[in-house]
Amino acid sequence: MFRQRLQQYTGYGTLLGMNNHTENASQSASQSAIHTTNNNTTPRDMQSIRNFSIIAHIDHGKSTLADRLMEKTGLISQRESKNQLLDSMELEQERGITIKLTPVTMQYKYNGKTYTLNLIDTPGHVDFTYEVSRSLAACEGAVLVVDASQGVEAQTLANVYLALNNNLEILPVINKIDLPSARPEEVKKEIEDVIGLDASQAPCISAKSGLNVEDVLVDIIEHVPAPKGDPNAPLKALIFDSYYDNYKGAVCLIRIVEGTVKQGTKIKMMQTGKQYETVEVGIFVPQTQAKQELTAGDVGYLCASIKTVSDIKVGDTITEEQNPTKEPLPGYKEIMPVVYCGIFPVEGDKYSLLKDALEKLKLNDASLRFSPENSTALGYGFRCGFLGLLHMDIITERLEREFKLDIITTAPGVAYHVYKTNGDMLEISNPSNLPTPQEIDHMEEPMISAEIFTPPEYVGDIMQLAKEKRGEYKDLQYLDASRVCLKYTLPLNEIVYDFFDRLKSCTHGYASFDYTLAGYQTSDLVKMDMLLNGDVCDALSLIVHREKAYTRGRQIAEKLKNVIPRQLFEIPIQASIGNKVIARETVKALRKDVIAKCYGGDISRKRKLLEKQKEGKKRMRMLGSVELPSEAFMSILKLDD
Amino acid sequence: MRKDLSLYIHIPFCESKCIYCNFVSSVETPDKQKQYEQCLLSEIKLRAKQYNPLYTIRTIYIGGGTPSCLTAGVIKRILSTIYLNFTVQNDAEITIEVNPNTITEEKVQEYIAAGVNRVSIGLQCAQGGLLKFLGRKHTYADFEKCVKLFRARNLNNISVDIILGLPKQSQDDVKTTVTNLIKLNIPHISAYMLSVEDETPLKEMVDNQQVFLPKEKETIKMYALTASLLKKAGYTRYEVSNFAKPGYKSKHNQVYWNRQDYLGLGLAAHSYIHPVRMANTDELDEYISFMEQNKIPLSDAEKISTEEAKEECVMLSLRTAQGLDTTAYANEFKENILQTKKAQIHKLIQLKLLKLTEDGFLQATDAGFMLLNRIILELVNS
Repeated sequence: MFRQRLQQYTGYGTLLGMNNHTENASQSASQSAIHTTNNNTTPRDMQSIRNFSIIAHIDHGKSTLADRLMEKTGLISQRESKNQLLDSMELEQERGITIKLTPVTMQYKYNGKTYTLNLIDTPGHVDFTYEVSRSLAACEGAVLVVDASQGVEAQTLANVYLALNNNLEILPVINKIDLPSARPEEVKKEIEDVIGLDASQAPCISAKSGLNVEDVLVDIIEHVPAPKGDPNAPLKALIFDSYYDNYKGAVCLIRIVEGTVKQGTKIKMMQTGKQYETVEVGIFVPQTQAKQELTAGDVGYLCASIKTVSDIKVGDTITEEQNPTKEPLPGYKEIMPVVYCGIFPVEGDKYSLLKDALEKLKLNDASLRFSPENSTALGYGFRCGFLGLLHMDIITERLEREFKLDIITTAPGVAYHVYKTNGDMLEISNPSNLPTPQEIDHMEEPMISAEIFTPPEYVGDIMQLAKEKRGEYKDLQYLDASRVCLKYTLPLNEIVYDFFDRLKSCTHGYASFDYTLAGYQTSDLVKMDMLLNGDVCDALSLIVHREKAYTRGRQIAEKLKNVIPRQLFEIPIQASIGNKVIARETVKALRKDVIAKCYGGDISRKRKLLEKQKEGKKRMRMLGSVELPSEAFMSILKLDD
Repeated sequence: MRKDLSLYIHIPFCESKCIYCNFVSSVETPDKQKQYEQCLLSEIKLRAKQYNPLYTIRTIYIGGGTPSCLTAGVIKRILSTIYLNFTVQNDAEITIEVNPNTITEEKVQEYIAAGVNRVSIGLQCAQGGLLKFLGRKHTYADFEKCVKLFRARNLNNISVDIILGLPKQSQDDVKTTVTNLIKLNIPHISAYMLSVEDETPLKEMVDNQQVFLPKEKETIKMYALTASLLKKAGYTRYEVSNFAKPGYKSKHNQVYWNRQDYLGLGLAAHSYIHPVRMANTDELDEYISFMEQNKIPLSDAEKISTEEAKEECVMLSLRTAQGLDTTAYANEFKENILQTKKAQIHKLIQLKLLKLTEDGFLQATDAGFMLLNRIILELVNS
């Protein structure tokens, strides 16, 4: 998911004058398979394989290090790596974050022996924790990149724990030692104190300049264990990722744990039960390169005429149809959305374009969920489910940028468990689908366990914020003189509202925040409606905690008052819970909108104004008798207040 | 059978620019004005070749800018050229726009001798301080003198422009201005609400908060006050901004509102010869260069589609007191607007912005006149 398409790599490579073998490989599997077997001397010896990933906090230099490793192993030239080849998706580059890289197979000669180094990337964000865990499960080791001036960050810690849980050998690397603010020795101590890893031998490098990068390669070869597994046992391969290719269809990224797979192998997905015939297997260098077979310890791709990435479940085990392995690999989970919102086209007639765009994104993103939704205020659109807020941001931004769509997204929400008086349990993510209060026995909301790392001086502010967000205090640890870890249980719906922004502003950006889902808890939740001229505006309905309803209702009513343009009549705005009005505002009627004169028969001026007004009207949404500009919706739904 | 045509003649010169004005007009040297006159006379001849065989001229309107700031003889030459090249009906309404300070006895004589029978005087308001603020070069006394000069020559078909909603203008100011005009027995009054146009000094002053516009409510009150004073004095509001004593409605302006044919000559002048709208260039040098090559100085021409014609019909007719003739609309466009826009019309009637007469005219109410832009938006197809 969020993977940039390998097609792009191929195109990029060609553009930069890489040899044309690349294209042949991706288009004509059999041809290049023969080609590669003759010329490629990949060692089959499992002892020479090292499978590893790189763990780093955003901006600590993961992508740069990956580029540098590819350069040192001769996979790419310096020129090509200039712009962080692997994360070329526009959005990734702009945010300076890597959502995920493709795996890459490198060859490196050390002490007279050629080693095969498979770098498997992990997405660096909490939204993708499950995917991280599956990617890590495909490795035996992980390089932990820590910024020599920033030190260990919260996000890094979470991934380190995941790696440790997967029994990975962790190799700390201190990066950016060429910066004046670098304090490698302190950071090493921090790694030892905070994570409990021996960092005394950690290579001190500058991925940017290439300084000491070869030490990392040597470190990997010497310390990451070689894979184990019987090449002759029944096939057992872990799917750790997938992507969509225009020519090959959905492609599985796999780590072979046991057995061997090649063209023609009839395979079976153990979780979904789906069966396919293998069309092509191969590795990434970094573009695809077909191979005759992949065997125990190998990392690569498998194509089997699979239609969509939704047919491929990350964490699933691939085995042979005829000769299946006994047990699937452990750790498989069905990925469920955590955050939901409605997405609507600003102009109603763009619905089908939005649908096409979501379907295209879904091709490469199995975790994106969407289903048609009809709102009286916003018309036809989709209810979408995401792994988290970043995932939601990325999808909405891609819709706007790559598909040039003007969209309205409703306020993000979460899925509530609604227990009805008749004993049924419903999972409700859309406030409009909530049963009537009479039918509801009680409701539960999703909770998170949050860890907030902060300099001690902000503890008071954060505790205040957490309290306001209905947080339950769990623990406070002093990590060192400058860092505190605060632990809270918080309702997820408070987090999706404006928690991040508030946390950022009350700690001047110094705090970092990490969370894991922590089940459901009974809560006094109510549905709050916004009424315009007496009609409920469904797109603005919210499920909120009863204590929060009054404040939120007043905020939204005030905001609505400011953004609703005056119309031909007075518009009462009300926030209500059931029949009880909890906040009220009024938009006064418009009194004057008339052009002074049509001078000297110049109708064009008037015509232009009319055209402009008509254009504006197109972007209006009718809500009962009230016209709301789409922009008004957007500004109401924006999280910052 | 010749068809009716109106002529609009644009004089793009002023002695000075007023702070609210963004019309095509500038302060130019006498040489430039002379050059323009030559070009304008050429255009009259050139376009007459095309239109004279088919049309009779019913009204002529010389507007600006300030036509009265031209040197002696220019207006006479313009009108003579028109008479020579077009076929002008004997009782044609011939209007000239004037500023009080530019009027002399000689000019009045010249105009009347040239056939002018209606005059539109730009007064704007009766308060000296306000006039000064607006950049006007005349006093209220100048205005009274001007009226006298025309009347002395028996030109009584006089219209006066006033502006409502000026910064610093009070309800009392408006009352004084309107009452004075009533006392003077001015038979036609155009009362425009100020619109602050882009690229005017006024816009800048408002943006920089150097001056403050009256509240919307105040402007509406000024308009209502004007309308009620004039109504009591026997004037009819026949268009949102135009009030006339019986027999003094402007024939020329009605041509615009009724979507009848008119030909605009001169810089930036607009024309409508069914079904085409045309605009002359608004660059003075370009206009001159066009005419030096004896080319029609158009910058834009556009055939009005049925849909656009419907819009224009709604847009223009609702500005008039008579309103939108739904029967005529149905005849012209083969569409019964009372059916096709039933819900919208119903809503507007309920909101007391429109009324429907028994003979099928949709008319704006007093409140509706203030919201014409919105009403039109409801009645046209998006």
